[in-house]
Amino acid sequence: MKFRNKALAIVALAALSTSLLSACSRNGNENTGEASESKTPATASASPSSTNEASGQPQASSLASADPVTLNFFYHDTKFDITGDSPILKKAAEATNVTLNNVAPAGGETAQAWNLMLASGEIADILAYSTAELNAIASQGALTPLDDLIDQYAPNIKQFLTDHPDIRKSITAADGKIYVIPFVSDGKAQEGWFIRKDWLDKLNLPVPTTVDEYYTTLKAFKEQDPNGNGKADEIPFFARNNVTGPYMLLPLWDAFRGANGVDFRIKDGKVSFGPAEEAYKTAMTAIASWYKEGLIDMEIFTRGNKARDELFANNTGGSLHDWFASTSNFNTTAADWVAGFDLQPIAPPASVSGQAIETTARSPLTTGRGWSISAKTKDPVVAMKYFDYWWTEEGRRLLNFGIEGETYTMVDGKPQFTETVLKEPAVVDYLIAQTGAQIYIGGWQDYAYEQQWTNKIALAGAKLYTDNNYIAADMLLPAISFTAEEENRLKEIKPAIDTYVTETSQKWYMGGADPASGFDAYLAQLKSLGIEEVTAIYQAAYDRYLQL
Amino acid sequence: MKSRLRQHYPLYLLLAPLLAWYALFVFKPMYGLQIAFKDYSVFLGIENSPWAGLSHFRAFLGSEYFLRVLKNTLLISIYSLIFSFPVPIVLALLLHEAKNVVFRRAVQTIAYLPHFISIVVVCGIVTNFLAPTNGIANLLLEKLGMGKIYFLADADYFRTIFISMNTWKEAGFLAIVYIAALTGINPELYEAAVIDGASKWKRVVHVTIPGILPTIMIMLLLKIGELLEVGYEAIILLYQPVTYRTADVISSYVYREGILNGRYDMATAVGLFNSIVCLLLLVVSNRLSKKYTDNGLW
Repeated sequence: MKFRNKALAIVALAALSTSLLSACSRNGNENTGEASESKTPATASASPSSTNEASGQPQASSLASADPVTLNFFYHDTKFDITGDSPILKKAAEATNVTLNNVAPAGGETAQAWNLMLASGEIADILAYSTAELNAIASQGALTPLDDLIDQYAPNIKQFLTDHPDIRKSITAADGKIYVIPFVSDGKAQEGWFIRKDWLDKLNLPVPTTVDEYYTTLKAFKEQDPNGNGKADEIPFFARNNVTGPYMLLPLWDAFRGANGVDFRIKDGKVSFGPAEEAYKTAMTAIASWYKEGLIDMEIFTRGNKARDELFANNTGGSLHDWFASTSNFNTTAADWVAGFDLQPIAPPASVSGQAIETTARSPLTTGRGWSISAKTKDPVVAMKYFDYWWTEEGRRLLNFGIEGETYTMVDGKPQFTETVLKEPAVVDYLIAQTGAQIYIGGWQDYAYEQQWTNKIALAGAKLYTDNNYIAADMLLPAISFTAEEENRLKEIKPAIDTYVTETSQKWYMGGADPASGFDAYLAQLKSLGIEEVTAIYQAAYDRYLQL
Repeated sequence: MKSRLRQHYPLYLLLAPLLAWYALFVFKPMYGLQIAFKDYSVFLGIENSPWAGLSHFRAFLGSEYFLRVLKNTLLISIYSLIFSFPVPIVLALLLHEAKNVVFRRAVQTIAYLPHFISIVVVCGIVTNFLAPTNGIANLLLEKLGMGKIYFLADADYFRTIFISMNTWKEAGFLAIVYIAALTGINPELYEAAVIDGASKWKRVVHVTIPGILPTIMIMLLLKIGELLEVGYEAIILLYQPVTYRTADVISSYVYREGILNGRYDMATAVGLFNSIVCLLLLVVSNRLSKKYTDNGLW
């Protein structure tokens, strides 16, 4: 009942204020956009609390539509069920009058859900997906170009893009237009190396700083029974991600594979295919012998997401390369399982050529996600205004911290997570499941959200990596976009190459074939599968990016 | 004709929903088959996408992996025919001979239960069962003094694992068909055989098996019609890049390269290719079956 009264009041207020607004602007329709544009950032920064819904005074400027509208929305999450009823979307609906209705199925594979939606012909009004895929369908005319809409109706987004020209470049499609409002991450370091400090101490070993020392350390873990149960059941190196995790060792031999299925990097100013470099041969040869010696988890390709929980709980896991925040948390959780458990981040061991580099980085567009407006949607202006809401201070706080009074409270003008949230072992999962905060829609992450629950060990680790410039950001390929033609060629050639590379690499890894002797044949095969053309396409797209 | 229609109209009425189902879900989608010959774009729609001739067929048949996935598909199907197909028949015969009704019912129920477990769960069970460090299969091997084997990462074990899993999952359920056929055998035949002094074994060979032979032949023909259709669900749940050599079949290949990449035209072309080959196989085997056993689908 209470809710209904409130809703009524909001609708009434909204109707009133919009009629006022439209009365003001009747003499010049073109002015509306500019007026609200100059207004919103000012109010947002001057008095953030006045836009707060809690005060019961929704501002007319945050309304995307005078009448309540419902837009279809595609957002797929393999783990969580995000619906229009997710608290943050509901809150946003109260502020903007735009309710989202998620059309994606719950569970299953994301790519499949996405392609099924496309194939059904019923394209949702708002599409949240990977920027690359969105730009790909944009080249087929499926999305509304956003440049003009941003200029006119999205003052906050416009401001952000003006302040961050690199991001503007990265989200610009091959035809020079913008179709996607990205999810922009905050913070720099993402993943790093971790090692069991208590094991090192027990075996009187120093912290490994080079690949050779790292080898000696893993060997000692394997042979000298640091967990003291009399069995050689230690698993010196393991990984949680069973697709990219096993290859996190590659930089130790200056080799490279990408974290998201794109194995290209920048080398001497040119695009280079990591798995075809000479270093890859050296690296795979070394890794295969590590695997054979039992220094790498035998089940590294099948263990999966629960690897850390399993191997720390039974006190067998020794070292890994994983996300700072969640991995550091095991110092708290695993302390109950294993006495003296101490897992510390370490600097990347220097490679064979002496470089200590980290090839994962939290670039602003690291998630590669964002959202777009379908070309078929009835009112793109409403959708654009709605997008902009998430970039206001209020919207950004909603996306980062969830619901005021439930997941956070304001302390000295800054959002502070509640005790309940901070006590959760997996804060992000909790936030997504409970409120929908931190889902990958077009918005701007605020590192402050992470700092609050990231434990000191992880913060120190992230600091270690950023202060020493370990993160080789200049080596990583920025987000680039392809023309429709290039996209088609890639779809035709690249899958076979990916299949061949993953299959052969895994065979080498597990000792099914010898990389040293097979490498030339492997290169020849890559060539016949068309790796040169794929590289040329990536190079062309990268050149375009540089010219923007 | 007309009078028959009028006379038996309730029966024809019963047939109507099925015909409607066929029209809607089998014949109408055939219209979409044309995208196998087009450069299909979901935004242009089926009609407006440009024609591409046989290029998708050429791309698939000329693909690097065509021979491998064809071979894997055929081998899995043929091994299934040899090792998996007879299991439900044997199970049905054994159950038929069991005297204790309670025992028979119990075994039958337990045997067909796995059919109702989701394939995802079954594959999860198999993966855990065969895990190299703590899987029960490897713990047993270790107790027996043998080395541990990483079954799911060894291409040589894949077919065995896959076919055994399917047999375990489906044998009980498929046996129902044969059990039903067995109850349809005239008891007088058995009585006559007993009077003639036929042993139990003789009765099975000369009465029971000929009695269910038509059913067996029809099931066999249907299986042959699905020779190229090894479902991808269980495959993608069990395979690893390292086992592609034996595990990658046509459907999983299409799933990876067609569906996940949004190449519906190519996926449709492969589907059409499969159907044509299967139709040919079915016609040929049906003719052979008619010639030698007098049983056939039509």
